[in-house]
Amino acid sequence: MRAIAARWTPRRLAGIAYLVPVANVAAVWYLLLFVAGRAADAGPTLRAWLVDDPQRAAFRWLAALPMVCGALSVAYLRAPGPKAAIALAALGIAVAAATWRLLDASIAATATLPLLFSVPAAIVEFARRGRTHP
Amino acid sequence: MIAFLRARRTALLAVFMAAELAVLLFVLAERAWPRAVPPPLGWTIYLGSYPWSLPWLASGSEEVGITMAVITAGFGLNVALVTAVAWYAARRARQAGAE
Repeated sequence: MRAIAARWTPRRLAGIAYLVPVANVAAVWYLLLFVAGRAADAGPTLRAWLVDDPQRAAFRWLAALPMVCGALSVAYLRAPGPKAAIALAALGIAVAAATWRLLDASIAATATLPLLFSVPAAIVEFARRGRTHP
Repeated sequence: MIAFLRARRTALLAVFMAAELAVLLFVLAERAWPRAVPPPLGWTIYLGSYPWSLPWLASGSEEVGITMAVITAGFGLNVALVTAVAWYAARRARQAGAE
């Protein structure tokens, strides 16, 4: 049991959890561009959504979200130090808040899920470091 | 005071994280019950992120992700700072009372 706990650290779980919004938003983009609209018009449609649409802020965030979550996932899987873990957890909270503000709850919930692991990881890592390096 | 803060880094970090999570909870509550959440709460968070958020907010950018990052970080920092100062002052007052 202890071996499993050592293998599945909160940081690693956060890294894996951040792949969920990446997959979710990729599926949303696929549905929006290729199922709801014609594949041939995907480019101009995307450009119109990101540049001209009155709700372009939401579409831009929908485009940025998989990149940000992917970067967070990579950062967590590369085992960040305590200070980096704090910065990543703070960034993750801001990402979740922005997603709740702009996008659908089904997407926002997946962007919030990794906080279950990232916030405890930040505090636990920092507390552990504080004990070993006073 | 620096030594006092260094000895309590973990607790202050927890306060910072709690303040950030409070902003997230506010956004969630605003989404779930838009009429029940009083607007002054939002203004408290918005103004509570000053002065750290001012340069970004003054630019009037549409990038909501960065805006939320700046507001949550600024608010968390201010809450942690106020907590640290109040904690330090309370400790000084207790020490002065003991003497």
